[in-house]
Amino acid sequence: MSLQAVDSDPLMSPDYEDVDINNNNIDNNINNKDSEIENPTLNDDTEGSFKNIDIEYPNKPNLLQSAGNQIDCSFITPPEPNVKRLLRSTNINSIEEYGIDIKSKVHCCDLLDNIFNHDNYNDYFIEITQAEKINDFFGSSYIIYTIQTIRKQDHEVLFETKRRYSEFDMLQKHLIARFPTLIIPPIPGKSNLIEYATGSGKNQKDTMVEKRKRMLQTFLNRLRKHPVLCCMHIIHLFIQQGAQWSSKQDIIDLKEGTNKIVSCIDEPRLVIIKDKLNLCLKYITAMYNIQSEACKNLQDLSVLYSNSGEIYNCWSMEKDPYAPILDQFRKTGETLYTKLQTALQNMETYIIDTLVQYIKYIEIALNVCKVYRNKYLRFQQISQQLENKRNYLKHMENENAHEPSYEPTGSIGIENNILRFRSTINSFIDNDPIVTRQNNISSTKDFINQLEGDQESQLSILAIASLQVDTDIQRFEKERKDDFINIFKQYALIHRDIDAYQYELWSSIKSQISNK
Amino acid sequence: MDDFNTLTWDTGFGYTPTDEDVKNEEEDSKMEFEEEEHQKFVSFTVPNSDKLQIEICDPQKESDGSNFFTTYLIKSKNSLEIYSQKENEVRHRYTDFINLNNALISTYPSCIIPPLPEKKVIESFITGDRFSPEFTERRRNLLEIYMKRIARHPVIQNSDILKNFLESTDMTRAIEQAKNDNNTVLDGISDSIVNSFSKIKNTNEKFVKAKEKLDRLEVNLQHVEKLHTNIIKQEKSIENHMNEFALAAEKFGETDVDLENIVNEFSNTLRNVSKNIGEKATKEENVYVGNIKGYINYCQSYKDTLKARDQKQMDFEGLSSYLKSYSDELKKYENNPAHISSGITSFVSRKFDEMKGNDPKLRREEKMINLQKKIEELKPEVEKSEEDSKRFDDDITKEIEYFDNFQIMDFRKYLNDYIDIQVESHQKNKKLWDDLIEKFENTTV
Repeated sequence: MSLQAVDSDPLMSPDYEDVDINNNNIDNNINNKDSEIENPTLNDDTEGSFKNIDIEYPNKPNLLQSAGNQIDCSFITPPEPNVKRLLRSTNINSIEEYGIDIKSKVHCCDLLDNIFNHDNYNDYFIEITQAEKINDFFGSSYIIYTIQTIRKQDHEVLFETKRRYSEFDMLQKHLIARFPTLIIPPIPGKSNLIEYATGSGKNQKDTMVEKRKRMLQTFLNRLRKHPVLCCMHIIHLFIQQGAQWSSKQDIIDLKEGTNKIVSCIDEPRLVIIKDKLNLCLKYITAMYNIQSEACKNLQDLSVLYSNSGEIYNCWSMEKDPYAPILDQFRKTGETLYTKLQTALQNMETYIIDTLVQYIKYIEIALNVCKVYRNKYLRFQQISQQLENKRNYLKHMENENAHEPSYEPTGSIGIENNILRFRSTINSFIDNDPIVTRQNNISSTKDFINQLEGDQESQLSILAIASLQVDTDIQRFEKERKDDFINIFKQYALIHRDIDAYQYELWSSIKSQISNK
Repeated sequence: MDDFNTLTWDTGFGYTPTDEDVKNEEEDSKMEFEEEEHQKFVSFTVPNSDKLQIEICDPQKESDGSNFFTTYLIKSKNSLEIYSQKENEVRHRYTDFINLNNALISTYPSCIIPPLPEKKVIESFITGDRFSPEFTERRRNLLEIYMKRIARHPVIQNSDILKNFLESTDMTRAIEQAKNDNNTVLDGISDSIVNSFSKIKNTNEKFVKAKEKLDRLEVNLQHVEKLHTNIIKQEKSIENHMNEFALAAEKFGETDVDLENIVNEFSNTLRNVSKNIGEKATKEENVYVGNIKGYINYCQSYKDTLKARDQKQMDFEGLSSYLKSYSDELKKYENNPAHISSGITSFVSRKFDEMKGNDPKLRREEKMINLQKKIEELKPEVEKSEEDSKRFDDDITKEIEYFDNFQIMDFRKYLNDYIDIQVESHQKNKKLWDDLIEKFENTTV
C-alpha cells in the first residue's frame, strides 16, 4: 500500500499549529468527577468536538465511584490534550511538553504535590524498607512490601503503606494502558525462573526478594521523576495507607485495530527511533550476559582465596623461617574473600539490576513505538480509503450514466471490486440507472463525510501520540544516559575498591617483611 | 655406635645470611615455636654457595649435519681452586645436560641432585615444535635454575665432571663416568645382599623425621600449585570478560552522542586493566607456579636420596646379621661338643651321616673350620659396609641441612616475588581506575 497523498499528511509538515484540533475544550474535564464516561466511540456524533472523549479507553469498564478508600480509575481521566509545538528542550520537566494542560492536573494536597514535583525530586525519597511474608486466611502465602515516603532532610516518614507484588503489577499495567504512548518504567518480572535457577547458593529466596525489593523501589522513584506520571493521582493513592484496588480488575489490554496489512511506509522518524532502541537493547543484553559471567568468575575466585587461607595455614604449621610470610598469605586470602563478596553484592545492586531493568524498559519503549505505529497505520488506511472514495465519486460524477464505473486506481481492490460487482449487478436488475447512480453518488458522499470525520479524529489522536512519543523518547534517552553513566561509574568504583584494597594489603606485607 | 642425638637441626638461625635473609631474625621471634626438644642453635652455614655462578643464555639452532638441535651458551664465573680460568664460556645442547646429570648422580650418590627439566615436554607437542621461542625460553629458564642449584652445592661445586662441562663441549668423560659407576642411586648398592629385609631394624629417628617433613612439604606444595593454577584460570577468564564488556559498552556508547566520549574512556580503561590482569596471571604462572612445580620435582630427588640411605643401612644390617648367624652357630658347636642341633633337617642329615657311616666327631670339626673361614671372610665385608653406611649417613645429614637451608632461601624468594607481582599489578590498576573516576566526576551529569 503506498501512501498517495503525501502532501496532505499533516504529520509530514513540521508545523503542528496548522492543525487546530482542540479549539474549544481546554477546561473540559474539571467536572470529570461526576460524569462517567460510558463507552465512548471514535465516531462521535457531536461534530468535531472531542470533549470528554477518553480516546484511549474505547471500551472503558464501569468503575466504582471513589469512596475515599478505593482507587478509582475514573478519577484520573486524562487531562485534555493540547497540541503545542514541540519544544526542543534538554530537560523535559513539565507536563505541558507532552501536550497536556497543566490546569488539568488534579490537585490532591500540597504535600503530595510537593513530593511529586520535579523540582523537589531530591528532597524526598520513596523507600521500600521491608519485605515480610504473610500467610493469609486461605493458606496461601505471599510477600508484602512496606513502602515509606521519606523527607530526606529530617528522615521523617510522611506516608507508609504495605503492598504486595500484584498491586505493583496492576499499577504498572494500568499506567501502560492509560498512556500507551508513554514509556512507563519497568517492574521486576513475574516469575523469575531463570534467576531462581541460576541464583547464587546461600539463600536464594532471600536474594530474589531483595532484588525485587530494590527494583520495585526504583520503579516508584522513576514514576516520581516522570513529568506526566507523577501527576497521576493513582500513584499518590498508591503510596498512601488505606487506598485499595477495589477488585481484581481486568487489566485493560489496549488492542489497537491491527489490520492485516502490515506493510506501510513507516514514519522515518519512528524508524530511526526503533533502530536506535534495538541497537541499545542488543548491547545492553550483551553487557548483562557478560557481567553475569564475570560475577560468577569473581565468586569462584573469592572461594579460591578463602581456600588459600587454609592451604597457607597448613604450610605455615611447618614453622619454617618463612612461615610468617605464609601467615600473611593466609590472612590475605581470608580478607579477600570477604572483600570480594561485598564487591559482588554491589555489582548485583548497581550494575546487574540496572541492566536488567533497562532491558525491560527498552522493551516497553519498543512497545510504545508499536502502538504509535498502529495509530499511524490506521491513519494511513483511513486516508487511503478517503482518497479512493473521492476518486470514485469524481469518476461517477463525470461519468456517463450508462457507463459502468471503472476501478479507481488504488489498492484497496476488494472494495472497488465489490462496488464494481454491485454496479454490474445493478445494471442487470436495474430499471432506472439514473436513480441508482444518484443513489450511489449520495451514499458515496455520505461515506466520504464519515471518513473525513474519522480522518480528522485519527489525526488528532496521531498528533497527540506523536508529541507524547517524541517527548517521552527524549526524556527516556536522557534518563538512560544518566543511568548508564552511573552504571559505568559504579563499575569503576567497585573495581577501584578491589584493586586499592589488594594494593594496600600486599604493600603493607611487603614493607613489614623488608623492615625486619 | 653412632649417637645421632648429639646432632641438632638448625631451625633457621645462624646460616649465612644473604641479602634478604637478614630480615628473618625478628620475623622468627614473632612466631611461637613449640620447643618439643631442647634445641641447640648450632650455626650452620651453607658454605661457599656463591663461589660458582652460572648463567645460561643465547639459545641457537644448530645442526650436526643430519639433526637439528638447540644449543645454549653457558657462562660461568668462579673463585674455586680447581678451575684454571676464572671465567668460562661454552655451548651445550640438552643431551649434554642429561649426561652431566647422570654422571653426577653416579659420582655423588649421597648428594641430592636437583632434577633436570624433562626431555619430552608435553606442551611442546601440543602448541608447537621444540624450536618455538616460548618453549626455548622456558627450557633455558629451567636449565638455568638447574645449573644454579648445582653451582651452589658445596660438594658438587668441586666436581671434576662439572668443571669439564663448564670448560669444554666434550662430554666423553661424563658419559664414561655415568656408565662405569651405577646409573641410578638405587642401583648403586652393593649386591651382596642375600637376605631380604624390607625394613630397617634400627630406624633412625632423625631420618624418619626428615622424611616426614619432606612428605608434608610436598603435599603442601601440591596444594599450593593446584590452588594457584585455578586462581590463574579465573583471572584469565575475568580478563576476557572485561574485554568483552569494554566492547559492548563502546558499541552502546556509539548510540548516543553525549555518551560517546566518556564511554570510550571507560572502554579504554577496561582494556588496559584487563591487559594488566592478563600479564599478572602469566607472571604468576611462569614465576610462582613454575617454581613451585620445580620444587616438587626437587623433593622427589630428595626422597630418592633418602631411600638410598635407607638401602645402605639395610645392606649393613643384612650383612651383619648374616655374620651374626654364622658366629652364633660356631658358638653352639664350641659350647656343646655333643651338640645335637634340633630341627628336622639336621636330624635327617645326622641320620644320613649315620647311614653313610660318617664319623660325627670328624664332621663337627670340619664344620667348625668351615664356619671359621666364612666368618673370617665376612668380617671385613661387614666392617666395610658399616663404614660405608656411616659415611653415607654423615653425607646425607649434611645434604639434609643444605636442602633445608636452600629451601628456606628459595621460598623466601618465591614468596617475595609473588608479593611483588601483586603489588605492581594492583598499583597499576588502581591508578587506571582513579584516573577514570576523575574523568567521570568531571563530566557533570
